[in-house]
Amino acid sequence: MKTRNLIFLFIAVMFAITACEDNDNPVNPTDKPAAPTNLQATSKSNTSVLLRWTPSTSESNSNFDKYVLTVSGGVYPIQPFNINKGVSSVEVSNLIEGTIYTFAIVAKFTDGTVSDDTAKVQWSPATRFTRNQNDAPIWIYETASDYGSGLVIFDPVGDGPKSAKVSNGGVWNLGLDTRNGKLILASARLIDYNYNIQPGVTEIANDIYTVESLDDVFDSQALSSKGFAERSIDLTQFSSSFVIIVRFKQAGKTDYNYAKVLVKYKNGSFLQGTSPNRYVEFEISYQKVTGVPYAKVPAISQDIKINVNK
Amino acid sequence: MKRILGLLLVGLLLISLPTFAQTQSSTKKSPKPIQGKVVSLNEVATGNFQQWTKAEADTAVAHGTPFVFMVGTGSKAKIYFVLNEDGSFAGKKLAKYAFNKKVGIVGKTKVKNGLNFIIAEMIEAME
Repeated sequence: MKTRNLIFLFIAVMFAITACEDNDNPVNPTDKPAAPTNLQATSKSNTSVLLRWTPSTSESNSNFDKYVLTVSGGVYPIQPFNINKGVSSVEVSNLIEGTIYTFAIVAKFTDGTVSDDTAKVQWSPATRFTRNQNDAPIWIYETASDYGSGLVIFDPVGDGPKSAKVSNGGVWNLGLDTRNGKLILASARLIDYNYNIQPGVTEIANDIYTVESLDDVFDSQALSSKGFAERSIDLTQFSSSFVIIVRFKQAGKTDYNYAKVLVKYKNGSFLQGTSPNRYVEFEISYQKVTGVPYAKVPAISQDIKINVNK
Repeated sequence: MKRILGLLLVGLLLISLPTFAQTQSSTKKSPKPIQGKVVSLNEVATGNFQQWTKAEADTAVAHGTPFVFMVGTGSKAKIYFVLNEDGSFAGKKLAKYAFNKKVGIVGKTKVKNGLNFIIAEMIEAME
């Protein structure tokens, strides 16, 4: 009898405790977490994309559980990834260059309720060049140098960027002009060097990003949405590294290839080294697949590895 | 004792001065690149020159093929062994330029035991 009373008492106490918890922190079945916003992407390498977003305003809710990232766009199904609360950037790897992936993030409560809205962005990995086709830093030289003042963003033969001389002007994308005290970086056709063969058209987008790394330039729209034109940039007007976005047509192609070019400012100057071989240094993110402005048409994919908080 | 030390110092000076003078006289530096082509020592020996691809040059250098710098062509060609600024042989770095038609090297040239050397400060393709 005594034991039975104790069991009843225990059940009653447990019921009371459970009921109290529910009343203290009620979960309304109609409550849903707010979705993260402003999802943006940038290509880290030819196999990986960096994502960042503004966290959900529901993160402070005690029922907030996590974010769920889905990656689609390939022929193989990809399992969604769970991302911890408090994280607002990830690197998704094992992707394929030229494939446009759709990255979508929702917020999730502990009871499984997900946000009505989804933060989405479409992006493709692109090859990152910190070295030229000779495995040396990417430099182009002042006009007085015997080395090349032209930058070829991607040379298919050498599988990388290279410098080129005026005598090989037909392959230039961008050029450096240091004549008469100038310090101009421009679409090659805008520089009045005595080219044997005129360079092709290389256009520069109207946005210039003053950042120290290509990893700092995120976008939420395809690069083709920017305003492109042949442009000339007076480097004396800048006092820090910056990134420009360029596009051009490779020989024999009818559509554009896109690239992001970091122009490096070091030790108070764009020009490094000693005269007459002073140089400007670059890093380049280049989308090798023609007609892919980093975000456009889906193709194929494979298994995905995700490195949270990288 | 002082006299012996003095004689030793004079002796040392006499030995080191000609060496220093010799080094100075045979070293030339120019900001203008010396222009030429990267070739393998095997090609120089056989006289059969090939157009390297990047992959072929990488494989060759991995198998120990030494690459040198050839200025001029034919019987007038001059062969340079290219050294890094720390004095190490730069054959591996040079091989990265083997597929380029023309390469320019800025640095000091030196002749020792009948061999030509360039202590390279800058190497760049010149196309």
